[in-house]
Amino acid sequence: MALTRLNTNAYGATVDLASNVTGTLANSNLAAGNVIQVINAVVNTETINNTNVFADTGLTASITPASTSNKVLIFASVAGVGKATNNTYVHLKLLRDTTDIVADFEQRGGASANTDTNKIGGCSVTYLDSPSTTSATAYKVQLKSGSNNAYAQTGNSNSKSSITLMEIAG
Amino acid sequence: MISMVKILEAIEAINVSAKVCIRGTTLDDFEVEYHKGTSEIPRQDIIDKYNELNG
Repeated sequence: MALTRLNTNAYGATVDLASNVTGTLANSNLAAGNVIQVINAVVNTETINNTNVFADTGLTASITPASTSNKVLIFASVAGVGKATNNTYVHLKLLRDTTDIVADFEQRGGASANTDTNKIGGCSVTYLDSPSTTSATAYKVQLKSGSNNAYAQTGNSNSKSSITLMEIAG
Repeated sequence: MISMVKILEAIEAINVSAKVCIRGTTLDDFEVEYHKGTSEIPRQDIIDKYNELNG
């Protein structure tokens, strides 16, 4: 951390920090709980999945933590969620890279045992993760249809979904 | 903007048992993942079927 000498001439003098101190405070000096960086992504991708195999919704964001002890607070809001055309329902999950961290944060969403379209609107998840890495790390939401005989959907009518990642000092 | 449901309808008109995931916003940017052994359909065939079904 680079600092300039304080411009004080007498003990007890008032120091104008804004004028006399320069430099950047290292992330390692931040108290636990401080926010180090915020990443946000907004997409209007519509995703249709007519299988019971999880697939990307297109809602994803990446963050590179400054320290392995820091945490990542994730807020994901998925818009335009629903099912249609047959007896099925929506599953959504949150992943860190290829690892499930919140499996089925939406489970059996919009379930109905008939051919009705059933739009349930928005679904969201909040999770405090400890990735223990300083490498670029991607968080994303995946979607599948429950019964493999009809489709589940996110982003209906290209509504906007968002994901926000906050790195928190550990 | 078009509904990806219309793309699914076009795909199912070509292969009624297709198992797919479709992402996108328009005819220009949609992408298709094929699952459970579903044979890939040429992109232009999907667009042609979409145009046929939707005038």
